[in-house]
Amino acid sequence: MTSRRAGQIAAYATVVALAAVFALPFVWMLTTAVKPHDEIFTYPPRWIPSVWKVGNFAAAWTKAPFARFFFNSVVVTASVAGIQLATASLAAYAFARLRFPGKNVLFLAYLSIIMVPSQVTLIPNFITLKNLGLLNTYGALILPFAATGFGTFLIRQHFLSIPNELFDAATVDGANHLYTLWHVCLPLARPALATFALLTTMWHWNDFFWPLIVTSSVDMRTMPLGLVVFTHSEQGTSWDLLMAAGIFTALPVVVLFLAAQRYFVQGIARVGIKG
Amino acid sequence: MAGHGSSRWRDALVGYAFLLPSLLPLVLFTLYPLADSGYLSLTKWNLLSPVKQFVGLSNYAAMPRDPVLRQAFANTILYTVTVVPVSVIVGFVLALLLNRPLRLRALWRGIFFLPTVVPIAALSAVWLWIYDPHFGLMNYALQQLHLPTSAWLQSPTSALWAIVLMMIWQTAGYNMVILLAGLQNVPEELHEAARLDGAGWGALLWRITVPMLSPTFLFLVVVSAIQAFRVFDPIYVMTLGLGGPANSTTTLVFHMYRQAFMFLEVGYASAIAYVIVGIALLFTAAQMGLAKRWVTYD
Repeated sequence: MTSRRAGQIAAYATVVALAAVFALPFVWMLTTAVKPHDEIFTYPPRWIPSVWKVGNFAAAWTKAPFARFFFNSVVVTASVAGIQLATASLAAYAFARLRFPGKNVLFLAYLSIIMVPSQVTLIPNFITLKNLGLLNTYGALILPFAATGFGTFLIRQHFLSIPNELFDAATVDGANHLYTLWHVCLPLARPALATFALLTTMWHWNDFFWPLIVTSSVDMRTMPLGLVVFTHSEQGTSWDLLMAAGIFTALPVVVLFLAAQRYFVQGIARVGIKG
Repeated sequence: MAGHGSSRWRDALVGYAFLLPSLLPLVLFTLYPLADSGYLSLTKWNLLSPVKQFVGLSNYAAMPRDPVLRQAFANTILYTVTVVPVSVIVGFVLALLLNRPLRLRALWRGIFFLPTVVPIAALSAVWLWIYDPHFGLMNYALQQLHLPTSAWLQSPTSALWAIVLMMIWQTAGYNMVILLAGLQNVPEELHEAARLDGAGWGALLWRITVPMLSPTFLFLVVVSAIQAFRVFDPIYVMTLGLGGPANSTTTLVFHMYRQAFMFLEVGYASAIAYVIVGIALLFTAAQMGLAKRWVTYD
């Protein structure tokens, strides 16, 4: 009994110590962001600023065109998530409920999107978009992600688990397939749709490599890319503004994560796939 | 499904129509590029010229003679063999802790998982500050412990390790979540039975928990290794787009990026891309082979 109690105390001590270490960079980011400029380079480091300069956030927001970056990120992320939900739901319905020649081969082709590392498609996709005259446009940031192997697979699994009787009832009613998809399948697959929408939103909000390659002008940058360019030009002079900019770049996904932690964690645990 | 001729036809037609919106981008942006970069890897082309000169396998043959590529290869391997095992072990420790009946479990889990959610760009901003040689938190902490300090990202001997440390912190929460799900599938009766036989904590861990989780460990190591082998974002962001002092943090993907988009060596960059993919396939094949031999299934 006492050894079990000692074990529990040791577990708490370890978990608190580890949590402190893991949270430290975030805490440091927050306190640096609200420090007055002359308290940044103090030694030893100051954990609590003498005054909380919340105005640093506004200063950072206007120092680079972050309003524009934010708008771009919202447009791109929302478009990708919306298009993927639509194309994946249609494809998932076809794979789960319809019979047609070549179905298995086509399904494997969809799964190959998951297997093919983006590095190998990067250069040809850049060239394709260049030939289409789409470089440095929203099209370049959105279109290459219009199909999703992962989303199609995830939603198909849910459609397969819907009992046949529900479909028979819909067929007796004379419903066509689009109607069945909209009124029977999608409402029942809501948890899968939510999980997928959350994960894809996070991946595309955070994406850095692709916007780096296909955008060339300042007004087409997304948040993470804008932040990096800002970091590289500002580093060494104003860490307070950098940390403030880092915080509002991260904030949308952090809020999303806090609001739906369970979906994130279950989604990751179930599919085991990284972005 | 009654074999009604016309309805069968209609089902097939609807099926293709439903696939079309995703099939077009799938062909254009995944399948065609897969073939095209194979072809590009056999050419010499600068992205601008109308002529792609066919050069056979000479891009591949040039690789062993490229000193930066050799260094990038070594850096990538070093990065992979350090980040992956340490991050899996840290993730396992976190999962074991959170598998206990602790208060505020969602809070702890949220803290450990948060770095995997936040954009690398934002994390890198704060880690650049932490690694600042003069005013950074890292050197301050080392001084307090009377340990030698370092120039971190500004020195060729420490720059890669600075990124390794940050990425262990960034990826451990992902491993924790997967392992936690695995732990919850280990039947409690097994532990009870072993405990009745007088097995201690260590024996339970080594004889039961770890073997039961071996499929999860194998999966994590392979997925993380594939991911680590393709590392780019932190390299670019932490080294201001330069690949570190004296190429000390240049990885394969970073080298490929530089060849393609800075030196316009599209053929050579495509050949590097194919090598990266080939290595990723080897990892996957190794997983399938090992899964058959090693792993204990219940």
